[in-house]
Amino acid sequence: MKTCESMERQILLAQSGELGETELTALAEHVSVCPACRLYQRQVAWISERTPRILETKAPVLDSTRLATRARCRNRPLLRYPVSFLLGAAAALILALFGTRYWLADTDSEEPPPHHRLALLNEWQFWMVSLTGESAEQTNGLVFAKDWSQGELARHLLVLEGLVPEDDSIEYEEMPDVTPGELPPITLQGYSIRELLRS
Amino acid sequence: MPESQPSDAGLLAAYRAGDQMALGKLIVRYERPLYAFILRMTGRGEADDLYQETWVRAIRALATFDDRKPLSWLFRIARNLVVDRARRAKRWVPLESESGVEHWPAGGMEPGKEAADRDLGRRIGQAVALLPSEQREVFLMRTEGDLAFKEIARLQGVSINTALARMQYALEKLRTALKDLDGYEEIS
Repeated sequence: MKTCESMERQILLAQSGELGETELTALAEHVSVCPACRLYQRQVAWISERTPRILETKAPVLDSTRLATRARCRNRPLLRYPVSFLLGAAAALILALFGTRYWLADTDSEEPPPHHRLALLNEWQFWMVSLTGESAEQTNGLVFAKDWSQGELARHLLVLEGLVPEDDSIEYEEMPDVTPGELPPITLQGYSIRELLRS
Repeated sequence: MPESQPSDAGLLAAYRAGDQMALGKLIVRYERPLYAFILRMTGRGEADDLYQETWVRAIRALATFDDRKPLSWLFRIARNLVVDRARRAKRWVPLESESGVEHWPAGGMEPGKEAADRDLGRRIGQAVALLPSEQREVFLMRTEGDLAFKEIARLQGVSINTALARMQYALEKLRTALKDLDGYEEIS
């Protein structure tokens, strides 16, 4: 003898069309003699039929073209966030280039890396190194450029800064020795180079 | 003679072949059950977003779309979104104020029937909103989506007996909530 609880499940399965002929027949026989299951069957049918009809569900109207575009963009971020994507790509490229350059640098040398060396220099030396780049070298705490006099360096510096025209003839005063950590009072035609650089 | 409705598989094939209108028809076809499920599992505040997101994800994965059971497939996507959202918010679905209790039946009926339906809608809405989420899922998938219990069990990752038990519990609570309702008593 089937229990009413198991019959309740059969009633649910019958409503969803998941019962075979034999089971349906057995269920019908039980329901015909069981008032509780008959009531359950009616009430469940009533709730199932009414619920979707009675509860308001106003879905937003969707634009299929827009949805399809969104879905396509999701697969290709360049279409969705072009500016962010390009900026990110540019940043990645720059990092890759500089990172590779640093990585490929001669790391076996006993010299400290460039940024450590620069940290030991004073402001004037730093400017010279940064402007002359690879041509700079350090000797006894002073910075010189290969084959360049200090006067040439100073002139080059001013030309690069746009403070004097390239073809201007300039007379340089002798640059004094530089003590690391101090900015020497270098003047050029009466002007302080330090002030010129900062102006 | 009314024009026959194109099948789901036909609409999907048409969309894959470039017919944008076919997608629109598919959306209209399933908007009611899908949106009802999402709305009553989450609330008005999140339902619109999740509903759109469900379709976007469905369109993106159209290649793996099961042509025979599109609604079941859509329910699966929606359910995953609902669960993810709830997990992120560290809470499960909200209670009655957000889950459809306030959504009354649409107008257009005669006054007496409209009032009765409003009461019925309120009772059912409250009772559904108070169901535990697993029971509510089963109830909505069954009543709104007309999914078979076998399919619901698959979507929930449980046995069919568990899905049936959840539906039984849900119906028991609804029957209790509707006990003293006029129209309901007539069938008792």
